[in-house]
Amino acid sequence: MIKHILKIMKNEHKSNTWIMLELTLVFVVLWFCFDYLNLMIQRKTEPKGFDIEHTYAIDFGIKDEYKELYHLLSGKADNDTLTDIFVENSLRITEKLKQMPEIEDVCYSGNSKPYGFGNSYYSFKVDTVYAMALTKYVSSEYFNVFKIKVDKNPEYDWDNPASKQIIIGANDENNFGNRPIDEIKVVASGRDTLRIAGIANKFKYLDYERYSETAYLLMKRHKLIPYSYEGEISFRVKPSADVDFVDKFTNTIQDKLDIGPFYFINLTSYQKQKEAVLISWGYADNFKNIFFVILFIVINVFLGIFGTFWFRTQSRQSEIGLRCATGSSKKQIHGLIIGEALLMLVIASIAATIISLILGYYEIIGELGVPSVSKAGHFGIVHYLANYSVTIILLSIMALIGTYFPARQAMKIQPSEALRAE
Amino acid sequence: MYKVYFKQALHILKQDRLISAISIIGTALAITMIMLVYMVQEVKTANVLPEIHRDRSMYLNMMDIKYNTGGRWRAMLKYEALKECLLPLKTPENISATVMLTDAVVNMEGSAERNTYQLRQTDDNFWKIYSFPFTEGKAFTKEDFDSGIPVVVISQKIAKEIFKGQQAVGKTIDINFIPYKVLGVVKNISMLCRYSFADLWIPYTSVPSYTNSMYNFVALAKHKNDFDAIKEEVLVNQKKYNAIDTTRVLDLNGPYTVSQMLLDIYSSEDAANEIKANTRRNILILVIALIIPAINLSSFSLSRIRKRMSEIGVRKAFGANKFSLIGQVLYENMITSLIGGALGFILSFIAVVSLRDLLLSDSLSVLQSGEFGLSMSAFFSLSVFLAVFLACIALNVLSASIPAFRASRLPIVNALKS
Repeated sequence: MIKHILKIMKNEHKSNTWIMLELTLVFVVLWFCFDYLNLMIQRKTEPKGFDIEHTYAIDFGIKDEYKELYHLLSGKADNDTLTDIFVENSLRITEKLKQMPEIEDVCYSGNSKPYGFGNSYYSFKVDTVYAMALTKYVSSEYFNVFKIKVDKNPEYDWDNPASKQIIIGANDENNFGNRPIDEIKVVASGRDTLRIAGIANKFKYLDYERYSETAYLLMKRHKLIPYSYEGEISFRVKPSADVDFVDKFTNTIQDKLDIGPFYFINLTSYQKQKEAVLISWGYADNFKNIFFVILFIVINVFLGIFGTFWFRTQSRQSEIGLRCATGSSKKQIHGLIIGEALLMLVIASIAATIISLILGYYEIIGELGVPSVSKAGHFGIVHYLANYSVTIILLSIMALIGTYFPARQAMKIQPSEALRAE
Repeated sequence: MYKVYFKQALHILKQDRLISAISIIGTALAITMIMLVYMVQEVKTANVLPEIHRDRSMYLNMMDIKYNTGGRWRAMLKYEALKECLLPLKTPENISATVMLTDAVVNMEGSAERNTYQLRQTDDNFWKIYSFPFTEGKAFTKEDFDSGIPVVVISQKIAKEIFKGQQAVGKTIDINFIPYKVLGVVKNISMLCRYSFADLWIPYTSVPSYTNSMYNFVALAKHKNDFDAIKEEVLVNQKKYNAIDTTRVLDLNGPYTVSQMLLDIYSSEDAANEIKANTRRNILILVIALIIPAINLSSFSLSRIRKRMSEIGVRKAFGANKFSLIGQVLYENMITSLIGGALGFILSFIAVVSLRDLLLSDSLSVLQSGEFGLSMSAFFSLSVFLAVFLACIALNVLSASIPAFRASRLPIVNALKS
């Protein structure tokens, strides 16, 4: 059967060259689309290490009359009586929030909120190696609000601000600074030696990124100022209360949180924040572009196969008529046409897979400025099989749909008419 | 002659309606795809009210500081760097600085009802660089800016929501609890104008501690050719500034044009690479969008020409030369391309309008509420029509040149025999 189809393909090589060329090209493009999506789906399905459902960030401003004072203070250390004006009032705000029945827990963080636009990276020395860690300055409630699991070391009291401690999280390889995370007892930061107060679960900055080495440091008291990059207040809402929460909160709060130098500006859900950050990091655009490219290709493949086979059944009317006359059933004729399309696809796919693997190996796609999965990831055969399967299944569906109408037209051919034309 | 070709082409289109439809749809899709890429860019970079000089504007809002101690920061543009290196620029026609868009609490004087709006703190030159459609009153002047008096220009949205349609000019509103006098009302600005959009505009000098704010700088060049000269002058100023204090090195690496600003450039080293990568990416999309349909169309044209062998043979026998045959095929094909192009233009227009949020939303529009209006002038510009036409020609040449060449080379005997 296959041999027979191959013979037909050879006879029709003039128009087959075109459709094969198209299928090969399209297969390569789709391969790289799915290559990227494949990795992104893998990353997305890994737990990202925190949970932002039902969480909100609350923005505050500083009243004009306190602004000069604030800028005088910024960067100054503890125990400043002036700092107290800001910190005491800031704590009063969190107290008020905690009293609200809808709110589960409230936390502070300094330029460290999940899906933030800004991030701090610091290096920590582990033995002799440095780890560049995503560093988060947080109050101890941060772990509850964002549901980050920490294996606390019972010997140390994380909540004691006087002790020099750190909570760390591992990267993809379960390492921190190239050392297995469980074996680390202390890390050095500048002149300080920090003891490991606990190990947090792995954390990724964005859903589609890899896990990054993470360090959590207890936020110093004089930094508890919810303004600018200095401090952020976030909280978790009870799931039952989380319906139109932004509106409800804004309406009930009005000026009740205008305490001391602060005034309430607005409330943003972390879901929104995430959306904005995914756009700003280019992921949203990448997915959008890939979606449109796939859609475009799928339609074109359909049109190409449809047109080619339409011409073919027309020009081969007499042959099909003869087949009918010699006893081929309609099903067999349909099978012959579909078989031809699928066989072409398979041949094209083999060529395309080789091309894709070579392009991937030399990282040519990345060079072109297209988001691509770098070779560094080194995937197993499963990854490539998945790429191949998804691509060929999608194209086969298109081939089946594309040949359906031409095949049906061929089946309608009356042997007597077709033969008479001969 | 071409009239005959035209009639013939129409006749062929009618003959095999299905294949004609497929060819036209294929062309239309290719044009749609190219136009979407082009329009999404165009909406953000073409001159539209109030950003009427985007083609001559350069922006800067980030800076790199390297300390001798080894630290290195990429930060938002600070006032000091702005004042020392950018505000003294002489080459541009005009310059302006704006504080990063912030949320502000706004209420009518004496009223406790609070609202949050987008506040832009700017200077008097801002109103000269951008052209705002005022419905009432006027902008603040250099005197207002220099003296730092609390005056504000508001959008129609605020005028409607806070003043409930009464005359706003001359009244007072509280912005972050400080009373501001309303000087003018402007029409609502689309969020797609990311450098001018806001609900309220005030002089940044009216806010205490404005020297601690983070800025966005814009320079309006006298001419597009001045871009390099402006960069040069920034470098000169930067050098002077770095000479004063040698413990740190400021690197502004800019300013950038509007289309460069659309790329998210995270470090100055990135900038050149990112710009190149973006160009390559666009070329690749263009190639995919043209080649794949071109293969389809080539294949169809070839099949068609095979059917018309005898006609071509007759033409040849009567003395038609190679070029007139190539010309005929290209011309006939061009009719399909143009019909497809027109359809593609309409499709891309529908797509941009209906998928506006999906195609155009950026991190600003997700987080803020505001108008997301599209200026139709961006679509019906000469450059868009030219782009459609060029794409059609490119597609035509790609898809019809091989069939045309084949037709011209067909031996007469073979052609007539069939």
